Amino acid sequence: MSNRIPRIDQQVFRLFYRELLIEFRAKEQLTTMVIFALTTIIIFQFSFEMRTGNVKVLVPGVLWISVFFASMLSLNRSFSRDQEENASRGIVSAPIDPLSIYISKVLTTTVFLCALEVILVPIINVLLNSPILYIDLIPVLLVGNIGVSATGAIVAVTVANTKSRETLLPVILLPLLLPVLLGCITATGAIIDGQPINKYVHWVHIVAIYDIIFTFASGLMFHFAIEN
Amino acid sequence: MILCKNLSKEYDGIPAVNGANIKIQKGELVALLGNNGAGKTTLLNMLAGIVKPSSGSIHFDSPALPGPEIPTNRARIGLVSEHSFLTPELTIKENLSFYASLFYRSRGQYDIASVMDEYGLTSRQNQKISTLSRGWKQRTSIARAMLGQPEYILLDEPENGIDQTTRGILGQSLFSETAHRSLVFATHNIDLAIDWCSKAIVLDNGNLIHEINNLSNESKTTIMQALDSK
Repeated sequence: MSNRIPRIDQQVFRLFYRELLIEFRAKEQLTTMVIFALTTIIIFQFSFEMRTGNVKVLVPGVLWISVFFASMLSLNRSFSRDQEENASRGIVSAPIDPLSIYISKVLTTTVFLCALEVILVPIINVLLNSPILYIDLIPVLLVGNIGVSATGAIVAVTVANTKSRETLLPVILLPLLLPVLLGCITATGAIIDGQPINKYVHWVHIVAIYDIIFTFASGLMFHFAIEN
Repeated sequence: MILCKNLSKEYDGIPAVNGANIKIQKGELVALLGNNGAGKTTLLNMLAGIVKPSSGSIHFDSPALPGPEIPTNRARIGLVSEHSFLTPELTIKENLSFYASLFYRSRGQYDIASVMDEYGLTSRQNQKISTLSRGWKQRTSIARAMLGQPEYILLDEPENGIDQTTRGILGQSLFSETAHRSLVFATHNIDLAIDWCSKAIVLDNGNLIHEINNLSNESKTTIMQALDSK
């Protein structure tokens, strides 16, 4: 029997593939994330144009605020959808490790956030008229996305069965993600200002350490969270 | 064989199942009867490995062996509920392929086409679950549960909201050829339990209050008296 059931890497891949297939069919998560983020950027663009002379200093905040709130939409939908026909119960009853469910959710949200940023960063570049298209930004975006996804997945599964999950998710998640957001905003600002890598790399390291700790701890706690 | 030893589950200090000792032999068809809140679903969830017991243990095959907490044993379980466990955005074929991929390591180990054929789903294989009626969803759900060729079939009120035809398929596919399978059927429907099962366990407020072997029409009065007396 043990030779019959899939290995954990196969479980992760198959769960991840399901998430992508659902998105390909429904076009819900990525579409709403992009629309929400674009609307936010446009509102900021109008308000900055009227009030601020130097938009450049505000760009890192605008980028990460948009990414954070767009991720809420993705995380909420990803877990609430599995409640509709109680698919989450069906998946948990299958012979798989709950850790593979967690990793697949983190992977999906990270991929969606990366896709969002591929669209968003050039648009910020144009709309806010601030050069932001730097290769050095990629590792910052990546560690930030993993941090948001890893922390978001454990909080989203915990609140998934509550009536006020849409409200609870950002309220709980924002304080938890403050180190990630502060680190990423500071590093992004330094990159836009053209500072050398040694001036901001410690922020990337801090966020990466946060990612490792939270991913490990959340992975251990996930089966308790999913049971409830 | 499924063996439950002093099995209990509490939610916020309130017992949902209280010290249940149950033995289900291979080939036995057991009805789990009780009013709302009796603990039927919690007991099934523990048997399926979805919910961890607060105390006590579940063993498969022998008292010395583990139960559904290990994935290889969960591969031996097929769970059907009033919910389909399917993904509405995906088609019947995609849903079955997905679940099969969670039960088997490689594609050569399973055959979706023959499962769909057996449950009459081939003609609708490319239809999305969100567009199906309750009966067709339940039919797909039964096919999903049978993908892993389970030895233990757990049914949580699967007859709710389905028509006579689907109920017939349910009875025929799950309650026939059961010599090598054990089946636990949680239901409110005493008549259906008598038609389909050989043994009944009556629960009330998490306690096992009555056990009837050789279930027959005469057992109905005993069951109703057991339920009414509480």
